[in-house]
Amino acid sequence: MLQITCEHKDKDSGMEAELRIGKLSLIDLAGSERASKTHNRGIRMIEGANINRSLLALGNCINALHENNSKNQTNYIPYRDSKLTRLLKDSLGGNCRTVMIANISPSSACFEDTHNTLKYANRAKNIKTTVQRNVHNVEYHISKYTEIIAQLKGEVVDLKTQLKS
Amino acid sequence: MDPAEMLQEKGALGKYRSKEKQYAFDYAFDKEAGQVEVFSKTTKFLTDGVLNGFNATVFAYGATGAGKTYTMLGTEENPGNMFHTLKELFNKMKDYHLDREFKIRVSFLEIYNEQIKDLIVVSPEFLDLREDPVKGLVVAGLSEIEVRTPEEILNLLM
Repeated sequence: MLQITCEHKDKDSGMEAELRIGKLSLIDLAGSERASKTHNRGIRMIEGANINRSLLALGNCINALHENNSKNQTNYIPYRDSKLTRLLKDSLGGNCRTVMIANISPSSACFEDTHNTLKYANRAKNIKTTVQRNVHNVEYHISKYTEIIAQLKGEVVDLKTQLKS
Repeated sequence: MDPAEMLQEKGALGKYRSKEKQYAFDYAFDKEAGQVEVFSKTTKFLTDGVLNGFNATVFAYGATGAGKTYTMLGTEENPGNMFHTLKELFNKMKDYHLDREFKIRVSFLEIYNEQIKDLIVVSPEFLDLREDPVKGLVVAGLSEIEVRTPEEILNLLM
């Protein structure tokens, strides 16, 4: 999971600034295959079950959100079931634009997995989120003023040279 | 063997035999589609929003071996979605550079067995999730680094 935070403010802002913060999360989830397919037994299988737990929790959240959207219900969304869903709470049902890429294998041996993936993606398709711009207003402390003045002076010099040329 | 042929030949696929299913999605990519094509049709349209202060998320979901990591991370010769996204962000930033000041920070983590691991600064310790009244949910102690070029990221990811 790669998270990119992108902050920007207008250069001509003075003692107060409007900070806009966008967060982009890129996530490579764990494999969604069935436990019976992997022929893992014992400790391996328990490990697999634990890995799948976050995936299962994600599936439950998607199901609940799908129900809420399609039937206008307000079901409880089990975000707190796993760390993955807690981290993704915003991305799934909140203030976020979300894209889901479903990867499938062309092999016929994976027919069931492929079908499951498509069903899952189909459900995720129906979730609607509302997005809002994240704006923070920052008021700078007096101790920062010299820094801001220096920055603005620099810009004046830049613009003057541009005017001359 | 072609799955359709197999369907007719024997009931190898159990209860799904001869039941045709249809699904509709925004895009379907075939095996010819490269990293750039997948990126430009899935993630590219999000970058404008991110630069203007909106949140965005991209998931890759599927069975093991279907190509999730290849799609997101890619290989060194053929980097995936993560690299192309940053490249696009840096390109778009240039358009605004006259009147805006940008700061890009990245963090990279893994959740394995319900334990969170930092992938930038490798340490054997696991990190905690904490609720912050101002910032919301944060991963305590997760390293965040500022980046200036997309290549810097590529070195980090690989």
